Order: sequence, then structure tokens, then C-alpha cells
Amino acid sequence: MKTTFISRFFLNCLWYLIIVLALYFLYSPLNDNPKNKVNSSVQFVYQQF
Amino acid sequence: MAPFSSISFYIIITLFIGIIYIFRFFLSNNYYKHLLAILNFSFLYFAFPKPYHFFILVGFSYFATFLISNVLKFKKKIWGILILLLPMLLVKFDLRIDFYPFKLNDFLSFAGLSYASFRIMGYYMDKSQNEKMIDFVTYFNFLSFTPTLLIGPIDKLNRFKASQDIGFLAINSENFIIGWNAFVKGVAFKYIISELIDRYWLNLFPETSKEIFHVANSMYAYYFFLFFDFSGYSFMALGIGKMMGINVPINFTNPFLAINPQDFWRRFHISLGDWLKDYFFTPLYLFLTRKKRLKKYPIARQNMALVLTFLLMGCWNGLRFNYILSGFLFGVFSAIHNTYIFQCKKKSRDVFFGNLNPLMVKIISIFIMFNLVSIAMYIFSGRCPY
Repeated sequence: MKTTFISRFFLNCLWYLIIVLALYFLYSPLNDNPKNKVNSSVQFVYQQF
Repeated sequence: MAPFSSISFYIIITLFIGIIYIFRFFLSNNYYKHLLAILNFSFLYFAFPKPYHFFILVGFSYFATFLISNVLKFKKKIWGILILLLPMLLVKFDLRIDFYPFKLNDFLSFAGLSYASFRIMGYYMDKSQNEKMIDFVTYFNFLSFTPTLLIGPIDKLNRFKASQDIGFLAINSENFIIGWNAFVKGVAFKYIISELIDRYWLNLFPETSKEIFHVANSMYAYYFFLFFDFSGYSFMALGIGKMMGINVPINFTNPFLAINPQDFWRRFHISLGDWLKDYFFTPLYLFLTRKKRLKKYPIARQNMALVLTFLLMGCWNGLRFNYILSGFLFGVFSAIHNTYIFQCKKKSRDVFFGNLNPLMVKIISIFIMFNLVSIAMYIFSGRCPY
């Protein structure tokens, strides 16, 4: 039980680290990709009004 | 500021969750809905574009529902529906009625009007005549709950109220962890996976290109983009809702594994599928059943109701050819599948697959469904060059 808890904790840490790195990679000002802005369904809703 | 559109939204939501967690120590359970109403009102008033438009719709719909079902007692619900949906219909059909110095459309339209109208109509349809109106605070919370304000899921008032009545008891570490996990999943879907698909797959292929390789890539990429983008929002709304003490209905469960159109709408935008089934398909089917000319043709009745239901869905997205055509296609897919099921039952055998291994049947069904949906979504996207 203890091992499961610890392994889950480290897996979660790894998962969050990947998410943070990916977010940084995608949205950092250093990323000069012209698409460096969020494209979304919210805009789809807004287009109608 | 629209929900989920900027970092400020997430700061406000963190503040809201913090306030709810602090006040659960000071307030009794009865005050949960009032606290929720204050938070929802604050978001609308201070952060949402056109807040007065939203308040007017809430007031109008509450008063109109009371008038229609408790005072005037319309025998046919259709008149009540038309009155309640009038603001949305005026905006969708772009009927420009001017009352100088006001333009009615400008006065009525705001982002989130469609979802609010669907919830309003759902309450009216579920409510029986003479049934006491729900209290205004719950009604307001139901329509204005911040995480689901703009793009759903489309909840039902009874479900929302049941969740709201649990109140501060739902504010605990277990629900927080469940909510947090759903939120993180939503962030990963929306801000990472869908963004990667958009930047590094979907945008590699020009929209005007008619080359089959480009079209195929664009088609599949758009379906994946739409799923991860939209389900990302839904998971974030579900997660934030759970952390705030409200159970938001799940909206997506692996649509890529759907084996037929009915199965697909049980997996993709589930709340919209359920709404259409409960408040449009079923009443329409019952209406058609009463028609003498159609009495002998049960399958034709079902298929007509299916096609009309999905046409309505297409129109709801906007009165543009691509939306209506994609809705019609979904209707045709459902009608074909419905006829196939009918024929299988009639002939007591599988008229399409014969005696093929069930696993193979499943794999082929998933493959066919995935491609059909990709085509319909591609048309929906407006990217189709043909």
C-alpha cells in the first residue's frame, strides 16, 4: 500500500513536470511560433455574437 | 473576460474555490447556494462582457416560465418554448428589429446565450403545470454557474439542485482531488494536446488545397483537434465544478471508440445529445406517431425525427451551410444505422456483417464510424475546399 502511494506520488510529479514543461515550451515568449496564441472553441462561441 | 480565455479567469476561479473552502467553516449548509450566487454574480458583473444582457435573460426567462406554466397554463408546450427561445431565435436568425435608439439584436446577444437558452428550455420542459417555481437563487446559479457559463456541459436543473443541496458537505479533500485531476486532464487536453495538433499538424496543410493527402490530413487533424479542445474545456469545467462543490455532468468518453452513431452521441458532447433526445427527438417522434399517414411506417417516423433532430443541431451551431450540412449528415448516418438495426431484427440476422467474428465486426464498425465522423466534422469546420 505504501509503495503504491509513493509510486503514485512520483508518477504524479512526473506528469505535472511534463505538463509544466510542455506549457512552457508552447507558450513561452521565447517560442516565436506565429501560432503562439491559444486557438479555441471559446472563439467559436464568440464568433456568433 | 470570457471563462477559460485568459490567466485572469484561473486566478478568479482559484479565489472562488479559496472563498468557498474558508466559508465552509463559518456558514451553515443552507447558505452555500447564497455564497455560490454571490460568486457567480461577481464574476458576471465584474468580469463577464455584457453582464446586464445576461441578467435580463435570467429575469425574463424566470418571469416568462412562471407566467406560461403557472398563470396562463398553456396546454401546448410549443408556445412556451417559442417564447422562452425568442431571444436566441432573434439573434440566430439575425432578425434586425430596431427600436430607436436600440437595436434589439445588440440588446439581446451575448456569448453563452445558446447554452443558457437550452438550460432554460430544459427547465420549462421538465416542469409540470402548477408545479411551484424553483427558488430564484437556485435558478440563477443553474444558469450562471461560472465554469459552465459559456460552453456547457448543458446541465439539468434537478441534477444541479441535487448537487447544490449537498452544499458545503461536498467541499472536502476527496472531491478536491477528483476535481483537480479532472482539471489537470483538461489543461493537458486543451492547452497542450489540442495546441500541438493545431500548430504542428492541422496548420501544415493549406485549407484551399484539394490534394487528397492534404484533405485527409486536414480532416483527421481537425477531428482530433476539436475533440481535445472541446473535451479539454469540459474536463476543466467538471474539475472546477467539483472543487466548488457542484457535480458537472461528464461530456466526453472516448468518442473514437464509438461503433455506431447512437454510441457516438453517448460519448461525444453527451449533454447536447441527451438534451436533443429528451427535448426534441422524443416529443417530435411522439408527434409524428399521432399522424395517421405515418402510422404504418414506424421506421420512417424514427428516421424523420432523427434527421430533423440533427438538422436542428446543425442550425443551433449557426445558420451557415457547413453547420447545417454536417448536422444533416449526422442525421443521415443515424437514419441509416436505425434502418440497419430494424432490418437485422426483422430478418433475425446481421444483414451487413453476416456471420463475421464479433471482434472483427467491432473493429470494422469503429473504423467506419471514425471516418464518417471525421468527414462530418471536416464539413462542420468549414475547411473543406470542395
